[in-house]
Amino acid sequence: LLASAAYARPQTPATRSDSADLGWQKAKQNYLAATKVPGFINPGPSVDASSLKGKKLWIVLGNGGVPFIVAIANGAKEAATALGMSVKIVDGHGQPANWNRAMQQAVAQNAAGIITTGAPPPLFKAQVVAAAKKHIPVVDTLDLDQTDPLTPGLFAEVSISFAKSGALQADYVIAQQKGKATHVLILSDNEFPSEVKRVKGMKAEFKKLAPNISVTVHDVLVSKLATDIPSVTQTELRRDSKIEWVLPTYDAQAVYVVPAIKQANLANKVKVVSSDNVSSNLDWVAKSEVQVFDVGPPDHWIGWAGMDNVVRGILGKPAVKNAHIPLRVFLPSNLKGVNTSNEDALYGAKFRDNYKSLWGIK
Amino acid sequence: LLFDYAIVLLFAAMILVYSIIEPSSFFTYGNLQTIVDTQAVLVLLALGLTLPLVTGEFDLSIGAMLGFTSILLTYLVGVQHWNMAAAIAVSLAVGAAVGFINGFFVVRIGVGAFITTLATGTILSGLTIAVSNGEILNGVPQSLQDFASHQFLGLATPVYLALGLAVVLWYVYEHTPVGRYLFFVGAGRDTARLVGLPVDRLRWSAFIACGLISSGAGIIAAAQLGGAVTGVGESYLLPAYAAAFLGATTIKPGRFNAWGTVIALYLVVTGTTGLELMGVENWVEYVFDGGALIAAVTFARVVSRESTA
Repeated sequence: LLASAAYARPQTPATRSDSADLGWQKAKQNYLAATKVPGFINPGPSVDASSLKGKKLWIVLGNGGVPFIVAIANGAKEAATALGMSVKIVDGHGQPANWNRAMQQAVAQNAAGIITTGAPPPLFKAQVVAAAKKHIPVVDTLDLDQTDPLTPGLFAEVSISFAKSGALQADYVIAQQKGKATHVLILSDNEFPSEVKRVKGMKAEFKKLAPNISVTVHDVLVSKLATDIPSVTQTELRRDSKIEWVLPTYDAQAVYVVPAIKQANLANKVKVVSSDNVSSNLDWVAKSEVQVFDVGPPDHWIGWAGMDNVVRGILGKPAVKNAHIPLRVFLPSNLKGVNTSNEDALYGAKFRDNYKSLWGIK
Repeated sequence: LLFDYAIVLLFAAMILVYSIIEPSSFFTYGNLQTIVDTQAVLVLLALGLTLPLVTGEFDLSIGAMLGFTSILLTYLVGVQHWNMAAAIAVSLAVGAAVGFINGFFVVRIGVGAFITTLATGTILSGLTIAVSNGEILNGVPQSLQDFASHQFLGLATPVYLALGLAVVLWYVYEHTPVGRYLFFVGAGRDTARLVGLPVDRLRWSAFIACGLISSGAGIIAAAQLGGAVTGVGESYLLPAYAAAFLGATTIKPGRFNAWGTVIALYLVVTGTTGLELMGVENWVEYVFDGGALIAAVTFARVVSRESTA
């Protein structure tokens, strides 16, 4: 087994370059631009949604125990209720068999539209096609990258650019280094295609703007976060004492990374730059408690954007390709006095009125 | 004797090989801290698991119990602002109560331990989501976090708690009548009953003690994290079973035992840590985990045959 050590992880070379000297300024511009309260960008032409009153929306949750999934569903429910629609929410409990069954039921009961979240459509292709045949628009949210090709039959995917999210994480590190070389540890999770894209975004940004920063990637399965992340983090920091930054691909990883760094007595040396904007992580950011940066999209907003595409699908209009879901960066400086558990306090609440105007119900 | 300590020898050989390959990073006190400190919760859970295992029972609710307790404690002190001592007492009481319920269905009603504890574990997972609303909870008091991170001789408090529990269980298993009775029950329930042992009470007690220790592990997990995450418990379940079963191949081969469990757990963790320090791809670590389990058990088996030949 020890012979398998031959499979050594590659590291990018730590050499100084002119591009690093200039790149950090560009990186700083990138992340600072995302620190402001995001504005609403009109996703498409106005529609008259008054005829949707009384119709039924089905929302299929991949796993009702995951906060962001529930938040997106709540946003979609809120939007559907504003349109006078009734809502049926089905929790798939993390099981693809349940997702398929829920989709079958929605189609059989003639749902007007279906929103899925936390349940990647490639895992229930047949049901998506069956819905399309009955002209039921199926809109998926935040499971795939905004740039991914649509699963056959899927009306629309409402998501973000995960690569851009990762690039913003890298931008912050590059800007703080101001051209100086350093070592970075990225914790990936290759089970999720979107997280693969996020890590690719990080690596591409480091390569483009700071090739003198050495990057190590360590993959951790989501089912082993609690047991593996503490030892992986401490061991990697010990293996390479030059590591000054750890970039978990999502906050649920950072939850274990931060205590591990504290436990290793490295809190003054190593900082965490993560993504997802989970409330508990933002509390750490507000206090600069090892985690100093977070970036993520607004979940309720995504729910409304998903509903916007369902509306268009029901009315026979073309889908919106880019819902312009914002990514907002949070630092200690823009979290002062902010209630991190209130999404409206983080991203603003005007998007609701904007969507209502777009649908002609305000 | 060689058979009894085959895994220990394998462990020593592994440490030697890694120390030669990675002398500057593996054979250091810092690395010892990483290996020992980060696994303390798992050691506690695995040791607690040996109690039902020695009586011939299973407890699949331990992971969910750990997760539920860590969420419950954090909720009570962080959200409801309970007194910390009261919250800890309630959390431990819940653990004991769940163990009592497991014991009731298995011992009194006669439902299989596998399905009973699977069911209670599933219920606990649901209650965990209900309490936390699926969110990551913060708010464990700093004093409890400080307790979990306090170091003595370079090792954190949970390590000493785990080692203390190992000593207690070792003493109970090896040097008390109750410990012997537990093994008798596990070896042959009917025979144990015929010789007058309180079989049902012993089985029931094992479930209660296991629930109590699992909830204690959950409290320590919350203290280490400074909060709690829904779903944290499930990831501990299989490693705890792996440690207990691998531990049954050493020190007291053929019997679940405390020190064997501790050594087995650290054997696997040391193996993967060494590979990480060598910079191998992460998939190799998973292959190693499984391979080490098979190799160690096979090695112990082969040595056993040699010694009895």
